[in-house]
Amino acid sequence: MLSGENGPRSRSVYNGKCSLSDTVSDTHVFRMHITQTSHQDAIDCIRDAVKSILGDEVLESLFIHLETRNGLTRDEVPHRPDVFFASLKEAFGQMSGETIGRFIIKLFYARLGLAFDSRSNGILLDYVENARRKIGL
Amino acid sequence: MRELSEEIEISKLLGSDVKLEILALFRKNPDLVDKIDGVSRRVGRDTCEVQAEVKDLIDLGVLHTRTIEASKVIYYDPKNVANIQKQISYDLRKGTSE
Repeated sequence: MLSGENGPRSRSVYNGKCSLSDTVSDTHVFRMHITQTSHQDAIDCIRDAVKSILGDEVLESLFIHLETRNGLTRDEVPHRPDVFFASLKEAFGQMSGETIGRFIIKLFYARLGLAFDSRSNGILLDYVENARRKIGL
Repeated sequence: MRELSEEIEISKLLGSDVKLEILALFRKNPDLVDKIDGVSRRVGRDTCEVQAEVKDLIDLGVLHTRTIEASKVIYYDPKNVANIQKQISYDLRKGTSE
């Protein structure tokens, strides 16, 4: 056995189907795919949640508000959930911003097939972190 | 408490999970006419919980009540909701072009 090639890494080297670099590359591509899919899911959830309670016009106005007031484009939202949730509270008020954020997160959890525990009353960013951990981001 | 506009107290409209669920239900089914316990069942909540939230939505003109064969039913007012949405939209955009 070559030194340093035991454990999971050695399987990809010895099975003759792919090299170590292929495995790393595949993992990277898979991870990128998950990341892109969940980021798109996150944007879709925001769109669907806000549309379902307030309609298209408010949704568009919210995105304009986020970009103009908070420098947050819709594509950046999944990368900066902290700014997004703070902006929701700034736009709609503390209580309503929190409930809209929770409504979006519930939809996101459902789309990812994750169980949402509303009883835990966690803060919004904790739910996002929890989802990231569960889907391995 | 934040008010998006002078006319709409936003927390009265969006200030609880139950309110959002009721709003989403009626937006998806604008012709729905149902009793309070029917609405509660549709959103999967207790009637008492829904009753309190419905009161605020009635005050805002999002929902109305009427009596049909001795039963009090709730229905949606899309025209009023459109006006409220316009106002929220206006308030969100206000100042963004400055």
